[in-house]
Amino acid sequence: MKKLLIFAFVLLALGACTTTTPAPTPSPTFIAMPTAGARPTVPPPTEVTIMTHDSFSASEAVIKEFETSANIKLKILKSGDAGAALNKAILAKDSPLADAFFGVDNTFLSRALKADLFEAYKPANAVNLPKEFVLDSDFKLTPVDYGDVCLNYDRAYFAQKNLTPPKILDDLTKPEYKGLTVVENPATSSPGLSFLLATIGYFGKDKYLDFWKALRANDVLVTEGWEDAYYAKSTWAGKGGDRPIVVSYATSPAAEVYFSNGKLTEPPTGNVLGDGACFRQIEFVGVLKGAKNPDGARKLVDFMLSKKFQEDIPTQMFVFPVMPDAKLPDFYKFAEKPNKPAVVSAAEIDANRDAWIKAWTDTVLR
Amino acid sequence: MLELVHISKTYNNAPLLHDISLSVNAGEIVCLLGPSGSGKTTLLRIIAGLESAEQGTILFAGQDMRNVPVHQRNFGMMFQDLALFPHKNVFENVAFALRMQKIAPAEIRTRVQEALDLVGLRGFEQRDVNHLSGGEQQRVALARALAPRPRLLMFDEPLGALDRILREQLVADLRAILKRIGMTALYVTHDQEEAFTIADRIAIIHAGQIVQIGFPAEIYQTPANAFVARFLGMTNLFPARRTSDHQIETLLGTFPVASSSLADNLVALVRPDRIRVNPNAEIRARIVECTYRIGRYRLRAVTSSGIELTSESPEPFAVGTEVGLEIHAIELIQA
Amino acid sequence: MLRPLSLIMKSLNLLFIFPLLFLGGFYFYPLAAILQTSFARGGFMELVTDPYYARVFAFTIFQAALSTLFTLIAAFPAAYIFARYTFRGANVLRALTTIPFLMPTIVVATAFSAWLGPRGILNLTLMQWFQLDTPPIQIMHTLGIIVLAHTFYNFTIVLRIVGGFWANLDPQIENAARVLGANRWQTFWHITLPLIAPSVIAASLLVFIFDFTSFGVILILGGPRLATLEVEIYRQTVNLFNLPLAAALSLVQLIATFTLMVAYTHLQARLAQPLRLRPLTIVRRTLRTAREKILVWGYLGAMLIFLLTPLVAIVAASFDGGLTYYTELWVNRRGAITFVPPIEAVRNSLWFACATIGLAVSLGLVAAYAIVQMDRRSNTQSAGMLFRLRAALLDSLFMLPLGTSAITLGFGYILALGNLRTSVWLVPVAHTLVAFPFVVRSLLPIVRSIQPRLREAAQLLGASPARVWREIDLPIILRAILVGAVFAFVISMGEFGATVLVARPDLPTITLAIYRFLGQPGNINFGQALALSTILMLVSAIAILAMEHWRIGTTEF
Repeated sequence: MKKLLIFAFVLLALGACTTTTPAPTPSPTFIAMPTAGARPTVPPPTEVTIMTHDSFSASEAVIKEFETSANIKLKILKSGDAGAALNKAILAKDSPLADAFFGVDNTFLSRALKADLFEAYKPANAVNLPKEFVLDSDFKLTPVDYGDVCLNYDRAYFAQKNLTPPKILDDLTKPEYKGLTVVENPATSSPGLSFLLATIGYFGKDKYLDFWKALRANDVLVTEGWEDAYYAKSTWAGKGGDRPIVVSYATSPAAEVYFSNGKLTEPPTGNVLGDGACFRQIEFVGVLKGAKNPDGARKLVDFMLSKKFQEDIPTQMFVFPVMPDAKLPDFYKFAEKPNKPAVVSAAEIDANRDAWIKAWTDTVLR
Repeated sequence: MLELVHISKTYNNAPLLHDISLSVNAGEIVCLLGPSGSGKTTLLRIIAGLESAEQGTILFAGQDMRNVPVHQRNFGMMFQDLALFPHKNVFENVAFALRMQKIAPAEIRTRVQEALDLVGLRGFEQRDVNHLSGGEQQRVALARALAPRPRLLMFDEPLGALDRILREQLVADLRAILKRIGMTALYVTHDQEEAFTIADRIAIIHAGQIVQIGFPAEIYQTPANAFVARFLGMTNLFPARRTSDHQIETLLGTFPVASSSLADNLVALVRPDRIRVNPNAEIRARIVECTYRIGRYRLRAVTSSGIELTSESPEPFAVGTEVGLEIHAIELIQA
Repeated sequence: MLRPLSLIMKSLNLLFIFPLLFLGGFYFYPLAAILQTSFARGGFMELVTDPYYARVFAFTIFQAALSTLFTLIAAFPAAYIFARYTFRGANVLRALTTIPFLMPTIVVATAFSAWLGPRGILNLTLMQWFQLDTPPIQIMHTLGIIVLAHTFYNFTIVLRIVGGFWANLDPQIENAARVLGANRWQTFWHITLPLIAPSVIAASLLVFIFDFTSFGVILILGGPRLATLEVEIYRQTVNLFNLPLAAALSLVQLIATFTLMVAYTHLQARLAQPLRLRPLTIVRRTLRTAREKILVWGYLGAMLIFLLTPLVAIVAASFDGGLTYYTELWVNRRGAITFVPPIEAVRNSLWFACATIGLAVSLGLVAAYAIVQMDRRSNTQSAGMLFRLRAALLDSLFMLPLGTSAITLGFGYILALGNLRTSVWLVPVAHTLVAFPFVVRSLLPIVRSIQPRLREAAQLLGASPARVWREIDLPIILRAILVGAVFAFVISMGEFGATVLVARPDLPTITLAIYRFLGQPGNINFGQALALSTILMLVSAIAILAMEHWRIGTTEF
């Protein structure tokens, strides 16, 4: 009994005092944390924390190089999907969890700006950014990468059925494509929301619901997230699915080749690239207000626009770098780009997002 | 009434019961007496139908019980730990079997009343069984077993947990109750006094076999073998060898005996009241213990050759006193 | 050294403070913080004016009740079989039934799809046999698959909690009923069921609350048309950032959970009986008659098919490319900084699980004893009602974390926990909040049924209070502690909702790593997710077996 008491006491004392006194506590050491090796010649590196979503990735070598050259120790704080991460940052505004935030996209841009989360900072090579990506002229948010949400289709399926794959959005409501499409719920999924925006951009604010009505009548399947749509409902990935058309990314066919370990020389899927059939997501980085290390955060923003990081983006996150001079890896020859993605402005998205989602839900789900 | 014919059972390839045959007459109380582990509880469970025997037949009133399931045998049983239903009050415990028989509520009430009257627990109907004393719980268990008027009532060491005085009183009460209603009963115990108090006949079980069946007095007077004698608390048992038709030889010397059919593997039994203190006796011994028993003293003494003897005497002796002991009668039993 | 028993009991009551402090610091305080920040009258107005939310509430309760019922029916025979029979492989089988509980929903969804999807094995086979053009089984995105998945997930809760209690029930009581003329069915209905009722109700409650706050199963398998409160809270919080409505929904969910708990504690107090618990060696027996063998093995076969076929689908698919998917796990092909070596993920998961077990079991033990002590006092003191109320209230409070949306609490942490927000300890703390009620529920029925006489007897025999606990209580409750520890383990290994919100990316768990793989397209990613899922099953099964193998003393209770 006594041992139990002591054990319980120690555990709880630990818990209790850390909650009541928010004084800096040494991080518990039951798992060894990597610490930067201190070199006597240079001052100890300053720490920069970047808060981001779960899909963030980068090469170890590229990050190491940045850390050495800028004398910074980079801490990456992943905080759920893009929406959850941003909302967490907004909630933590008064005592930010990080110095910089990466992963606000154009569908959430206005929410982030309205919440007044970011410090303006215009990096030196921002002048080289193509105009189409600069959505915030104050540079509170700086574009880093972009990607298109498109419909992927199963090449083998359409070849075998002797069916032409759809080319434009209108095709999806035709009888020959009945029961072939999966989309994600825009209320819970980022590609789902992007695809809804594509239909709004393409058909217009007044007509897009007619399209969705017709699509519903044509037996569209709605899933909550991309993972389920892609791996449990599609005909080519995962097992047991029967839908050859899935809302995914324009780079997914290239990723299929890349992640086949040389088994595939050609993507198993193609993109529906007709005008207005895709929606372009642009991702931004920004320096958080109240950052403990704003200098470091600014260096990080510079770095994310540097050639090194930009050229690292395609293989790590399967999106395109915003800098036009960044070279793409070889397998990106399979990553097609739509000529004319649908356009909906960030301000309009912010003003109408909830209403559009609600209207969509009423039309498609209820 | 109850007829056990050549019952055998093994457990993990070791014999548990071996060739048990026993008959119990209507209205008779038979006691299965034996040390723990002798298989008596298993035998009871087989009769109840909770376990099955590998060989042998159980007949009740001439009917083979083999295919009669437990709940249709209408045998009662009082368990070692009583197994009262903790979620039911006294009334519902006693009424349980009657409810199973779908008897009308009014009649259930009368019969529960009767059963409680019989065990002297009138007025306890609504009490929580978990809050009764040990003796009261015993009585509830008895009433519960009696209420359905079983054709046979079995007791599996039902008084094991109680203190001696309470036990003696309960055993006497129990016998009176059983006799009053003419119940046929099988009573399992390891306590010989309990057995001798309650039983009409006693069957002594040892290592899965019945070694002796008989009336209490019969068993006491002529124990079938040394095990029985020892189990009944008899001392003064010595290995013996027959030297002639009328004479045996033991460690205490040679003694004349009546001729009998017993030949080898003999044990000589001397009852304590057959040994007297006699200053001139040949056997010399030193008193090691002297205790008072109603009306006389019991002496434990050790002879010069280290043999222990128990005897009785009308007067006490101090420990350490040297006495002479004279053996008056000797009996021969099977080893 | 012979201290009066009441003194230890008093100190036990003081110990009560620890679970309360823990809950206060890591649950109520952050919860209050987020509710306070987001609460606005508008939220409630929206809730009551839109009939949609009433429908969501009704559906939440309906699907939870239905799922609980099916889980009970499916797992009840298993509880009986594992409680009353010894047979070869029983421990391995029981460990296997636990595996579904810790599988990530998205992996299970792909497995269900592989079997039951429109082009799943079952449909393809049936279509071939009967020459059908359309798949006959259309179960994806229906209530049916929700119930199926909930039964699949929560089977082990009923098996362990009911089976654990049943295993120590004195069979003599049932024998007595049989001898008194009750047939098997009557014995079960009038005797066994009332006696094991406390555990049945405890298990039902846990299953119900799990189903009531179910998230992944509803979202992924149920599809977007079926929403529960938890799903709606998530949507409102993350996607619409409508915190006032989310707060209102969270409160509704909390109040519903709390009401349920209060009703439960009342029932529990009425049903609990002082029982004589028996060692397993007395209770359990081997299968004897042919009928018994056929029934038991027939049922176990069906159970295995139900629980294991989805898992087998995962394991089989993980070997689709030979060992490629496994060898690929060790290669950081893109040189990514986010790469997780599988060993590290396994190590992190096990560390978090061990910390969770330690926290949840020690807090749960203290809480269970304190609740029982209060209950007992309510029977003996004049202030009885007060004590009973307090015990019921506390018992109910302990269960609240189970009824709280992970996203709500996760957001609360951001607001309330200051520098602790990024502490490694938050993961086991979050897991403990979920596991702790399980430990309490597993322990309570057993602790309640330890008769004080036993302790008093030991004390009079000269045992010190610590000794009494070790010699009397520990052997009896060890089995329940084990049940609780296994629950804490599997909750920690499988938990995702809270982990994703508090885990640090440098210490990812196996489950998190699986989700990372499934976040990207490509055969190799899918394969690696399945390979890692297989490793998760293997590691967990071994750990569970090891825990169950560990015993104190020779008498197995």
